[in-house]
Amino acid sequence: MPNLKLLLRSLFRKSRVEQDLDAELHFYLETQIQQKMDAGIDEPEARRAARIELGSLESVKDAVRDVRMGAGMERIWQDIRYAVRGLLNKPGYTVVAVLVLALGIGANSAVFSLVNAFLLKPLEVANSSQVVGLYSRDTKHPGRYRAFSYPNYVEIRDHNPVFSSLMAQQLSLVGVQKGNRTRRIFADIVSSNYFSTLGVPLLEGRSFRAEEEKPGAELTVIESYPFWKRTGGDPRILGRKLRINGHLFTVIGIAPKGFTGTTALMSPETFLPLGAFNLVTNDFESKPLSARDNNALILIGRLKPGITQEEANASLSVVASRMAKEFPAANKDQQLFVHSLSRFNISTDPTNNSGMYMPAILLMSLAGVVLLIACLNLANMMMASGAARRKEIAIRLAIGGSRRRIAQQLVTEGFVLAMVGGAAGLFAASWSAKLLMAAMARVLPFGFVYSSTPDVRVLAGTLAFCVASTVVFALFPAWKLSKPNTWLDLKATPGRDVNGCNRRVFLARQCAGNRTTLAIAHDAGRSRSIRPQRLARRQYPAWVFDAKRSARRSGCKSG
Amino acid sequence: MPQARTELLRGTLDLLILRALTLNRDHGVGIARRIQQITKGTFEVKPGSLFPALHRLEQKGWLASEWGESENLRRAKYYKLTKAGRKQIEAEMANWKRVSAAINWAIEATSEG
Repeated sequence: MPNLKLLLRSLFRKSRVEQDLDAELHFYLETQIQQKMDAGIDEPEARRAARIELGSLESVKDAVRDVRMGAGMERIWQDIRYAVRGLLNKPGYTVVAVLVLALGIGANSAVFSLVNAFLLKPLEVANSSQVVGLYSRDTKHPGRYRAFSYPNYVEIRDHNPVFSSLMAQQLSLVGVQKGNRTRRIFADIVSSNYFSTLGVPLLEGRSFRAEEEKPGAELTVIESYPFWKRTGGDPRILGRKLRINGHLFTVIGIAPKGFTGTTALMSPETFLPLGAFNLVTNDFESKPLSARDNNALILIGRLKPGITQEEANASLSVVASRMAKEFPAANKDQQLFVHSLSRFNISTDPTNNSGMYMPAILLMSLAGVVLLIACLNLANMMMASGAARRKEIAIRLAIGGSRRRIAQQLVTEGFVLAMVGGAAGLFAASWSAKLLMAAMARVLPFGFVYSSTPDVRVLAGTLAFCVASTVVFALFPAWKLSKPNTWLDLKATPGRDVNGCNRRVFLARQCAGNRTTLAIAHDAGRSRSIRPQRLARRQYPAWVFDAKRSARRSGCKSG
Repeated sequence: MPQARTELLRGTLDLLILRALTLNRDHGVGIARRIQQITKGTFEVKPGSLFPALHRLEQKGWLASEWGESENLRRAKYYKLTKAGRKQIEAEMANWKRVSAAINWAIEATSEG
C-alpha cells in the first residue's frame, strides 16, 4: 500500500510536510507574480494582484491539510484538546460532572467486576475446558444422583479410557484452633492428585502423597493463599503445625495466588488429604471412607486431549456396566456421565451457571439505573451550560459551521468528561469492592479470592459504560444545542462580540483549536492558531472558492 | 474578477488534472496553466481547489511527486502520473462520457417537451 508511507509521513513528520506545503505554495505565488511582472505590471501591483487571486494562503493550506490522510484523527485530537481546555475553564461544572459520573460509572464497574469474578473470569486451572465433573445417576430414578465411594473412585481412576487424571474431593467445615479461639472454615478434602489434575503448581512446598490418602498416615495440610496471608503470611510456614478439629496437621504447602479450586471467587481455606477424611468430617454414621457403600466423594477429571464429552459418556457406560457386574450391591442401576463444572458449587448433580445469571442481570440493571439517573442529570447540566454557550454556537453556525461538526465537538466534550469520570469511578469501584470483600472475608468461612485490580474485561466494561453514558447524556443535548435555528439568538442578543471592535479576540478564544468556521479570511490568515477555513470551505463546496466573496456573504467586512 | 466562471463537478477536476499530466510531469502552476489551455480557457483552476486535489490524487496513488528545478530555476514540486493514474484516466473518461451523454439527453428532452 503506497499510501501508508504518506499517512505515516503526515502523522509523524508533520513539520517537514508543512514546510513542503509552504514551499509548494510559495513557488506558486512567486511564479504568478513573475508572470504578471512579465506582462508589464510593476512589482508591488503584481504582488498585490497575485495575493488577491490566491486568496488566503492559510485557507489553501487548510484545504490541503483536510484531504491528507489522518485528517480525521487530527480533528478528533483537536476536539479533545478543545474540550479539555473548555472544561478546565469551568472547573465547578467539570468537578460536579466528574463526581456524578464517577458515582454512576463506579457503581457499574464495581458490580461488573464482581460479575466478572463470578461468571466471566477463567478459573486458575490449566485448560479448564478439559476439566469436567463425573456424575453418577440412578437409571431407575433419573432425578437421583449420588456421590462416589473411595473404592469406586479408585476403580474408575485406574481403569477408564477417557480421563488423563481423575481426582476426588469433598468440602467440609472444620474448626481451626489458634490459642483459645476456634474458627470454622471450609476445608477441601482431596485426593493426592488434586493439584496435578487441575494442572496447578503449588506456590510453596509439595503436594499430597498417595499414602496420605489412607487413614493413619501423617496428617498434612496445604493452605490456600488467602488463608496463609490472613494468618500472618509466615515465609517459613512449611513444617509448622496447624490444629484442626483437635488434631495437629503439618503444613506442607501453599496453593498459588488466585487459585480458587474448581469454583469461582470463593476458595476453600485449606486442603486436607483423604486420609484425614474420618478425622475431620463430622459424620455420625462413622462409616470408614474405605467402605464401598460410603458414597462421600465428588469426582472431577481431566479428559484426555481430543476426547469430547459425548465420546467420554459412551466409554463410561462400559465402565459402569463392568462395575455393576463386579459389585452389584453397590453399583447396579448407575449411569456414569461427565458434565462441565459449575462455577458455584461442588455437587453430586450436574448444574450449570444459569442460576447466577439472573442475580447478575438484576444487580447490573440496578447499577444501570443509577447510571441512567446520573446521565439524565448530566444531560440537564449540559443543556443549562449549553444555554450559556448559545451565542458561541450561534456564531459558529452563522459563519458556516456544519451542525454535525458542532454536535461532534459537544459529544467529544461529553466523552472526555465520561472518560475522566470513568477513571475516577474505576478507582472508587476497586477500592470499595476491596473494602466490601475484606469485610465479608472476616465473617464468612471461606476465603475470597478477589483481585481488585481491574482486568481487561473490567477495563473494557468500564469503557463501554463511558461510551454508553456519553450517548445518553451528551448526544441529545449536542443535537439540540447545535440546531441551526439557534442563529436567531445572534439577532436576539446583539452584543459587542458580534460586531464590536474586539471581535477577533472573542472569535480567537472561541474558535482556536476548534476550527470553527470563520469565513473572515483576513482575520484567520493572521493567526496560525485559527484554522476556520476548513468548514467555511465545506459550506461552499464549489471548487472555485473565493474567500473574499464568502466573507462578504457572511456579512463581515474583511480588512 | 470575471463573473462567467464555470464551476465544475468535483470528479471533473480530477480528470482534468490527470489529463494535463499525460505528456509531462509538471508543477502546480504548470498544471493550472495546462488545464486552462486544454479547455480553451474555460476553466481557471484556483489554488484553493488545485492543491487539495493534487494532494488527494497523490494520496490515492494516482500521482507521484518529486522536487525539481523549474524553468525559472526555483525549487518546485513536480507531479507525474503513476501507472494506477494512467489506468484511472480511462475510468474517469468513461465516467465523464456517460455523464455528459446523460446531461445532453436531458437537455434535448426538455427542449423537445
